[in-house]
Amino acid sequence: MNDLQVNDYRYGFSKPENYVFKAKRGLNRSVVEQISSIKSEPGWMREFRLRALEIFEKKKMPKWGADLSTINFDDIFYYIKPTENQKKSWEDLPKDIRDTYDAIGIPEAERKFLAGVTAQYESEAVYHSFQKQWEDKGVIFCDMDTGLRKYPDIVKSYLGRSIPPADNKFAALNSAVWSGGSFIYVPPGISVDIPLQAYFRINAANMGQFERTLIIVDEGAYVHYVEGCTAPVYTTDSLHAAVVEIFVKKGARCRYTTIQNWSSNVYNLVTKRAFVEEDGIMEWVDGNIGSKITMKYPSCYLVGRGARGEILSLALANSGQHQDAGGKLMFLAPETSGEIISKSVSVNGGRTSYRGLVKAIKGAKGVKCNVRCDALILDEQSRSDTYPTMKVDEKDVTMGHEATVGRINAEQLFYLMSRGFSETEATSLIVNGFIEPIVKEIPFEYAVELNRLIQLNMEGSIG
Amino acid sequence: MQNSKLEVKLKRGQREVIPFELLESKRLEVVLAGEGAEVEIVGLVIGRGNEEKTLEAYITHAAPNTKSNVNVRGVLSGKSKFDFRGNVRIEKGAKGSDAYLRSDVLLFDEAKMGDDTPALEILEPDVKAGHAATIGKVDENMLFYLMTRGLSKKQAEKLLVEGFIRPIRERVSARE
Repeated sequence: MNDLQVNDYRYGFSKPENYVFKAKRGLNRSVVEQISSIKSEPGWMREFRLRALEIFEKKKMPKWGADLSTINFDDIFYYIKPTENQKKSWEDLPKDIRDTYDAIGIPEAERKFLAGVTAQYESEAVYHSFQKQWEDKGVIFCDMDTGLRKYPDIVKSYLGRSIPPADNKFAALNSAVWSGGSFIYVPPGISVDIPLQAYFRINAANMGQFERTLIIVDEGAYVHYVEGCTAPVYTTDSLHAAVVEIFVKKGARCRYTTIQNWSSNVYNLVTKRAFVEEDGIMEWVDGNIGSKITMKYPSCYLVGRGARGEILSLALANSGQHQDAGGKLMFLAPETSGEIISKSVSVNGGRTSYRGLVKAIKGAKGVKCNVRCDALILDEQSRSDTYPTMKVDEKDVTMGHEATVGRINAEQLFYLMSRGFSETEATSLIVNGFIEPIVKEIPFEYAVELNRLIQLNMEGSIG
Repeated sequence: MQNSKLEVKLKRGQREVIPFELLESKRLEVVLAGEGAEVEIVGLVIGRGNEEKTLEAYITHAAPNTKSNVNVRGVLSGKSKFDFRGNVRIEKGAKGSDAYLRSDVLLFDEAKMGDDTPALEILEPDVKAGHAATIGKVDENMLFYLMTRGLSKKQAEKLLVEGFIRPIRERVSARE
């Protein structure tokens, strides 16, 4: 068995750090107050942060899931402001930042006429463009700091409503030190038919990134938000603890696509939750390729009659990685329905764990739910777990769960090799076929990149 | 054997069938320690009134070509509650192992499924492992069919429940 060059990370370049402001390492009241004052935030936000900090300090680390014992909270930068002001156009950006984006293909996406790009470089959005046509319809798409400045009332009434700081330790941490992220509001009846995209990067060693995203899709509206991440390789561990809150109103639909490809030293601990009202639809498409440890379980709280939640989860764990991912569906109203489909691949000693919860409360009559998890283990060093939980407090439901774990079918491999494919090529083909049900839901440019990444991960892993 | 803990360690080539009706809570721990060892667990759970029952089944495949099959069926009525926690672990080197974990539960009245977690932990690629679980009411299409044949709803339900538990019941009675 050859070792896959895990260090041969495709986007593993880093640029000289050039920051206007960098908070001290570690976290305390004054760091939080400093962040709030640099951002000139209203008093209530400062209070929100400080309250969250108290909760963070009291909360224990989760006892379940992946091993987080090596995180040192005192050794992390909680806030870095990269450039003085937000730049309007691409040309205004500092050259080295532009170069970094060039390398991961942002301008290409721009050329392809995508609706908007909020590129989060370090802790704050530095580049933000938006198609005028949506602005005219009243769609708001900006970074979260701008959102707070320009629409304080909306932010105040939704922030922390689906994920209160006390939800878990990392939600509390994010609430205390959040910076950047996206703010989206889609007015009633408006359908945004080109995906809104944001690209994040972490570019300072030992720096945590705590973006906070808030999406409100008003009655009958539709939006597709795409979040993709690639990050350079560092020698010390980085922490990414994001919070994403989504509100899907009556008859609205929201799709949230993530391709998470943090470098293999990042702890990716993210809380994502959507509240879905009557006849609303929430779709999470969640791909986890990178990071050292990911713990992420996008959730749908189906609070209105007829609401639907779908979670498509994809995980690939290579050497040294543990992808602890899955999803949560809470059936809190009658005739709600949902589906979770999870596909995971472990290779070169990687570990994937599917962790899921589906729950129907008393009175949630007519609930229909289907969960399907398939896992591939490619070699003897790797591991795959499935921890699905169902809780049902209502008889009038139909719930099913199914899971399979196994290796690559030898006959398929043999067939492809007899047709002239090398073992690596054949394995890549089979793995790409295995994850196809999820990849086909991802926007084309990302699907292409994902297929390449899979192939890269398979190289040298077989034989 | 009820309300108890049962530990079983199976040696090379040993085969054990464990059929039971769950009268009170139970914990099963089975280690398939020798090559080719097999275990089959067949459980029937009838919950009535305020009964609360828990079944825990921990199975470890520690040797090659071992096989486990868990099949649990439950019918819960009244205000009864059932928790099922299953865990199948296949250790590294347990090549050719085959594991299947299945639970099906029918709910009536105010009954509830408290916690249904059939987990898998697989550390060896050369295996076949799967699980499946269903929770819900009796199939409405079947119910409708029987009612078009002149059965009352109650009779039809009774018939479907009998059909649902019969395969398990037969295994359990054969043992007794």
